[in-house]
Amino acid sequence: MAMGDKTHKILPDRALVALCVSGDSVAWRALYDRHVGQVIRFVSALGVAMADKDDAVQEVFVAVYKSLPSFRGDAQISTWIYRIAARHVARLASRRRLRDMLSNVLWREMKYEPEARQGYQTALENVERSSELEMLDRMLEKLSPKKRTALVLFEIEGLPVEQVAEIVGCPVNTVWSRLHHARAELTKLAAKTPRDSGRGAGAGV
Amino acid sequence: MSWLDDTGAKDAKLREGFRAARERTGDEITRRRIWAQVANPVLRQPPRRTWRLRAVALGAGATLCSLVFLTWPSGRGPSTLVVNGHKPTAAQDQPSDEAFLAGPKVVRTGPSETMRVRLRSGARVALSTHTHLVVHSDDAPEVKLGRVSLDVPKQAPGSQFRLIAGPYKVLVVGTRFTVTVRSQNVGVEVQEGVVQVQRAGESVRLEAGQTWTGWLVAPPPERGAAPTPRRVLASGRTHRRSVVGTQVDPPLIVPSVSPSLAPPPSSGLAMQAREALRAGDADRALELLKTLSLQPGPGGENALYEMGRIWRDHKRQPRKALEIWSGYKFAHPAGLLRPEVELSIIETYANVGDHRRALAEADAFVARYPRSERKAEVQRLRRTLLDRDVQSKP
Repeated sequence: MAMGDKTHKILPDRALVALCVSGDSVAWRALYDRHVGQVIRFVSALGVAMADKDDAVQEVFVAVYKSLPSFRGDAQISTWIYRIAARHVARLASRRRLRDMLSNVLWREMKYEPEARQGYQTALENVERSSELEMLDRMLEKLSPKKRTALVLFEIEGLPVEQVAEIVGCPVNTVWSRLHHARAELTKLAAKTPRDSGRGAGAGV
Repeated sequence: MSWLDDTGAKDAKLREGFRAARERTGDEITRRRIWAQVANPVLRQPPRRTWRLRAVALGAGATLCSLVFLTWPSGRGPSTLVVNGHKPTAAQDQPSDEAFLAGPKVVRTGPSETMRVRLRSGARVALSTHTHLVVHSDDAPEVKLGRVSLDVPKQAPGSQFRLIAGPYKVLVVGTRFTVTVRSQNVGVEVQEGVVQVQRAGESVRLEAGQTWTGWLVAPPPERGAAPTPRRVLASGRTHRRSVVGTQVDPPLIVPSVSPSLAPPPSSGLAMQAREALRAGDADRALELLKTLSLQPGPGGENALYEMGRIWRDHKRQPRKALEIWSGYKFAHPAGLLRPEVELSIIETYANVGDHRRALAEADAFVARYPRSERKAEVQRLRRTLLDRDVQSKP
């Protein structure tokens, strides 16, 4: 993949942000390359549907670009991007809930449409998803959004609790509490899960 | 992950799930596909309801400013800006935050500085951060770099306000507009009145609500190069019409473009298409993407790819999708999304049950991209298809 200039690659985040604000397109590319993996992983772990994932990541980056001039540099840029992504995913989830609710009330057939589409959308993705990952995704879905976000940031993103607290906007002790409950629920769910419930590779093709 | 270490096989599965989740960072093609969209970030129009709030806030702000202006002692100019090495002088009859500027002068704003000045013609100029403005001896302003918003009062009969932006001249009689000069292009956005952009006798007439972009340098090459952000000039606001300056080499003249005929900026069209698709109007989305697909560059490429997806996933016509993607392969033999298109073709053939073609395409993919991150997946898919073929034979 054609990346940005070598100089940009080694620049610290804040310098890249300053260059982006001044209109440096190579810096924007470098910033994107540096953080896109993190955003894709985070958005996926928060349960954004495969079909919406690209759009969600894209919208997060558009929001980041638009907000770059207001980035004060108080926090790390990755913290700031996580915060934007978490807010965006929450908004997406509430929009989806509303849409599902409306489709249930107004037009019941609508809710079957996405499933019908999935046959095409996920043929290759089914191959690449392991049954363990699928099991984890299913279990994470059962957690409340707050617990899920805390767990994902701590266990999957590997952030320290202080940074998680900064991202989710709550005290450190609250994060520990959410993590404790999320882990307990997850362990309980894992115990209930039948042993070989995941789809095998190639299913759905 | 100590909380999972001390228990049985179920937790081992969970641990494995976490490990897999940590590696889910998206492959090269996904990243490239998303980049094709975010290379041209669009400033979206905020929802209408916030306009009312903003209007109220603006009104309150204006009232407050008026009060401050009426009560504050005059004679204070901006403290952080450099004007030819001197601070701009504030006229006694001007508001305290607005410096009076008579040419020849040079004004630069820094990373966190903005500035408001008033020219001799009465025009109010607001400079954004990182802006370089030159006021010539005839008081004509020239935007060298950055973003400048102007509020030009009605000029005396026979006289016109003139602004220079690169090789372009912007002529107005009385209006509000914004000019942005980047390293590669010039943008004009008209808020009120009518503006005429000229270059060597050719001109474009812009009315309120229209935006225009013209190139300062030759546009980036269509293929092989990373897409360059066109940034905020091309407004994606759906209720506003937009005009794009024809992409020409610098020595050439920008031809006159009729706003009603000119295509809107690609990023705006893509956004509209996405909105149409979200609203369930696949036909409208296809129509918009078709227009976009005629344009050069990554926007056009992505439009073709998305058209195929819509035909396949929304219109349920996979054959039509395959036709579109074949067209893509023909039009963009070295396109940025070529691997993604080929993967979609394999996937679609597999889904419509044409395993023979899916296998042929998969073989071609593996041969063409021997180092692709998705080679292993394609090979697994290929094996699955072969197994199914074997099982289906009597």
